[in-house]
Amino acid sequence: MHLSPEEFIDVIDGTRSEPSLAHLQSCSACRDRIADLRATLTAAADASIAAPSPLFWDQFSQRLHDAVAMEPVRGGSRSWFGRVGMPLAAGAAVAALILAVSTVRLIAPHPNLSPPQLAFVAAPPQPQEAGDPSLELMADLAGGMVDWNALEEVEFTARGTADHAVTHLTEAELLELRRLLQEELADKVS
Amino acid sequence: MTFEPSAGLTKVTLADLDERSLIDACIADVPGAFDLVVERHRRPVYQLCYRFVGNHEDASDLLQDVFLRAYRGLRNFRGQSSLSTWLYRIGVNVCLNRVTAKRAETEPIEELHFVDLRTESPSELLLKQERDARVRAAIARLPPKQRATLILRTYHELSHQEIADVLGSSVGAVKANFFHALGNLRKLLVEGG
Repeated sequence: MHLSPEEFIDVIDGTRSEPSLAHLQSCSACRDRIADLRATLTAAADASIAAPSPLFWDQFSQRLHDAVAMEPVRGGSRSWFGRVGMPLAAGAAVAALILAVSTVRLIAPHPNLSPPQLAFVAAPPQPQEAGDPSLELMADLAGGMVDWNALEEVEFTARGTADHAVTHLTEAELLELRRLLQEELADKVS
Repeated sequence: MTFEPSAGLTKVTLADLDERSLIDACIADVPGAFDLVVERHRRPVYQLCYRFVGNHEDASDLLQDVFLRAYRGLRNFRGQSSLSTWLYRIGVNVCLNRVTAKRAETEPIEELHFVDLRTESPSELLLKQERDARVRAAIARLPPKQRATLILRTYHELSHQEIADVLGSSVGAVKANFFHALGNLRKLLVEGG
């Protein structure tokens, strides 16, 4: 069996002597292979390369300086703004985001409740005014199903939102709202 | 060792620092520290790149890439190998990336400018230039890992273990690569006349 690649390299490196490998005494193919490998290695080692001119190194230094200058500042050498200002700015940005979200919730109608549900709440069923039996039935059903306190607990009508304002009217406000709705309906009928 | 940069530190004192302290100085952005690292290692890294790609233009681009990556990564250098071995590792990775993206183009012989101080006759010099160019071109045609192994072993005299560290392989694999690199190089040289 011939030498393994590792054994060939060990012989070329000199870390293993040729006489220590008994196979080499009897195998001319392996001996020839070792001679070829040595010759190739010598040819490779002799091949010199062009040395760049001193001018190249000056230009290279300048290019590298420019490239390094374009690099983002590394963590350990941040300026005062990097160490202190950046976290403060990030905190301010988060606070502004929270404020913006709160403002939008105050202005915009709550998407979790559809207008018909709000109408039922805003105009609680009044027996003397509910002429349509089907509406009376729906109002009864809705009144029995919706627990507004529970909704508030799960923040469907959070305090400060438009939904909360509609579902927490005073008696006088309810009367006024009813009057306005009746006027609106009367206009449409006529 | 922790390096504490002081206002009076100059390049002259930087030159006296050992490798670890110089790296610490680079991390602390001491003026001139990284320049000194570049100055010390640019020639062998350039030679590695040149032998890998076979032409000056690509080699100079790769050289810049190597030192930029080194600048970015110095903070993560643990000192488990020497700085030069670490730079060779970056260099080999950069070169391997390049050769997979672009086939190496070796320079024509007439564009090569050698600085050879040996007293040889013009004809001898010309013959040697041609021979060297053939060898370089053949090396540039070897499979990338064989090429890297041959270059690091033959021209940079890294041990098999160091090459294994650079390439992320075993010593056995490095020796096998070296063996096949020499075999393939011989074939290419014979084919090329």
